[in-house]
Amino acid sequence: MNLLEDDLRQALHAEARRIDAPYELSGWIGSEVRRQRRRNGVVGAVLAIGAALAVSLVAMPLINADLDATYVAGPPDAQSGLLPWEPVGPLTEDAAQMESAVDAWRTLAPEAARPEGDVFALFGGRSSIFVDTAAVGSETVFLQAVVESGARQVVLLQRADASGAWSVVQTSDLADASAVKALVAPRGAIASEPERAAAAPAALLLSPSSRQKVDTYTPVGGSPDDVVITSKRLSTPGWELDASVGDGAWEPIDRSVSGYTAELNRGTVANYPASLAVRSPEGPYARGTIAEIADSSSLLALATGVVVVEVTPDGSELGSVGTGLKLAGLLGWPTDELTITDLGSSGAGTFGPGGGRPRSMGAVALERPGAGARIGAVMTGPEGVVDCWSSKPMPDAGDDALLITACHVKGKVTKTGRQLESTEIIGQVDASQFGLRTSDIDLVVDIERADGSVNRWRLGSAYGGSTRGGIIDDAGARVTGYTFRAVTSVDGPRQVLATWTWPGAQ
Amino acid sequence: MENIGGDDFESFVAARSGALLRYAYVLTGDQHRAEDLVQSALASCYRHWRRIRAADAERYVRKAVLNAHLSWWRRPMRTRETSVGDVAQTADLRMADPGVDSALVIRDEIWQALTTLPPRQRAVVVLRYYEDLSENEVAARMDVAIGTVKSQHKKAMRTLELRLRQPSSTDEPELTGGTR
Repeated sequence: MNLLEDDLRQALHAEARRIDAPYELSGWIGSEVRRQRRRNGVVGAVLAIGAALAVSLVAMPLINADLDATYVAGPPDAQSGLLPWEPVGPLTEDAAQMESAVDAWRTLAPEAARPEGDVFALFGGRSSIFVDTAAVGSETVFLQAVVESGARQVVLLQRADASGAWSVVQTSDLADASAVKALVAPRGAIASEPERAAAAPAALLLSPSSRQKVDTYTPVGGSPDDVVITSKRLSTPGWELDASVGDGAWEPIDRSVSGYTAELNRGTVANYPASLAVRSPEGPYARGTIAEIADSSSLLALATGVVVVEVTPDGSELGSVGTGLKLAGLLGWPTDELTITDLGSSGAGTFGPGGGRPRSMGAVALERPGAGARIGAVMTGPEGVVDCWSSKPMPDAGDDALLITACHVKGKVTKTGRQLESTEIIGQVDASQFGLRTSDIDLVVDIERADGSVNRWRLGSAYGGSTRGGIIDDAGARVTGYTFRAVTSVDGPRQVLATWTWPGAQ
Repeated sequence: MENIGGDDFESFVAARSGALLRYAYVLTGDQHRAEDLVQSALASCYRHWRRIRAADAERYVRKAVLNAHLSWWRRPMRTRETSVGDVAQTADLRMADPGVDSALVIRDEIWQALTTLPPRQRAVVVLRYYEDLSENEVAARMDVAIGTVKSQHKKAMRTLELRLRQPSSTDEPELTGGTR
């Protein structure tokens, strides 16, 4: 056996071992039921429900149409990995009754019987199970967070009503539940309510596996403009995630994020009700909406079909295609179905003032069949040097790169050639007029779709960092325009320095 | 509800769902798609369980998972859900913590390289090195000729070797705005 084969085996098995989520069976079976119901109508739904219920009853006995009690899960079964759910009280939203249920749970599972790392969860209320989707009915109640407050841990039971508003229906003190490591809601939630802020700091640990998920959840009644975010592994021990909702105070939600295991996993957000911040031990690293954070430092694809486009100043055409292929590979997209599009130009000074430099620049995009409009943006240094990809300072521009140019570029490069169709500079801003460098500036773009929805993306720092210069929206929705905003990225309130729109006033 | 499959099915799911999920995950590289595949396969098998269980249920379900995976790729793009896989973080691993275990980095690079393989090639690799099947067994599992397995395997290994030989972006001493 050669080295590669051996490494392959190890890599495959190591990656496979990271997947340990039988407790989620019920959730995704439920999702499939709903999908089949929509797809196949009543007959299909009956069949699907039959199958799903059978599986669900095995995977998590809690999933039962006749839910009539509040359940608590004990340690996972060593063999099956399933959680032995136990009814501990009546189905209730009454605080006192829930308290009794928790007390009953303590009796059932005394502290001494809980080995470190066990998983516990508590559900209650009507329609309390499929919290992983918005299709849970008019009211959802589920265990939302374990709150660490000093030495105490508090369980918050929260409810989202039809309007999407959240409220705490129960707060239970699990003073001795030091072994509570995770809350098992098939998909977690980051909710908005003043009570939670008051109870901060909170810990929201959603997975007992090595990959701790922080999934977001679209409350019932939330916007249909969901955004599904991708994974982000935090690499440095000691880094933390903070969360806030709306204009609420920032608060840590997960103090256990460390090593290579933590990640933001995909979830849904409706109109970005929640925000996350990533903090390094040295201080703030990134802060913004969930989408922004997820987008902050890696190639990113979104389940909505939005693809980040990299803008690069240099290199061969083959490299452009190679970048596209790399992206496609990361996305798991079949390359033979892709059009790899280069939104950039060859030659001198297309984008930059004063003619720029004799080098190519632009963006490479992936266009999938059925793609909508393409959007590109470039950012330039003082001599038209694009720097939107390098993670290191660009020697050519040095620290003097102050000018940011936003362009609407249109073109295409396939494997056989490069065709720039048009370039339209829609705005420029000189960072120095604000006493800033481009590294102090982030670009944010709002894509407006024909259906009226707006997706907001952070393109990254205008200089340095893992930045990218454009986006492509191929979610099937036609893009009718977009707005760039250059905002300060320095600490403190974000200041909008410039706003550019495409198309302009027409 | 009619208990079509009976207790055997429930026991099977209870005992094997984790393994099936892991198998689907290495096939797809995406946990969420893996969950979809397994649930689809289980739902499909459930209705025929009495017939299936007489044979090798595990093998049957695994084949169903594989078929579901490959057929997913054959769907028109517009009908696919766009699942989001993990984003390569090798660069982050290295940059954030230079002392990171090199074995971890290598493993991560291999995993990322695997994501670049076309689905059939990836399936062959998974069946060969995760399932430890012989080429004949892989051919039977995929319902293709053994020659196809050999050629797909050869292409996959060549691609992986090439990709793993390429320096990652973080190996480059200076990135002047990136290279294309």
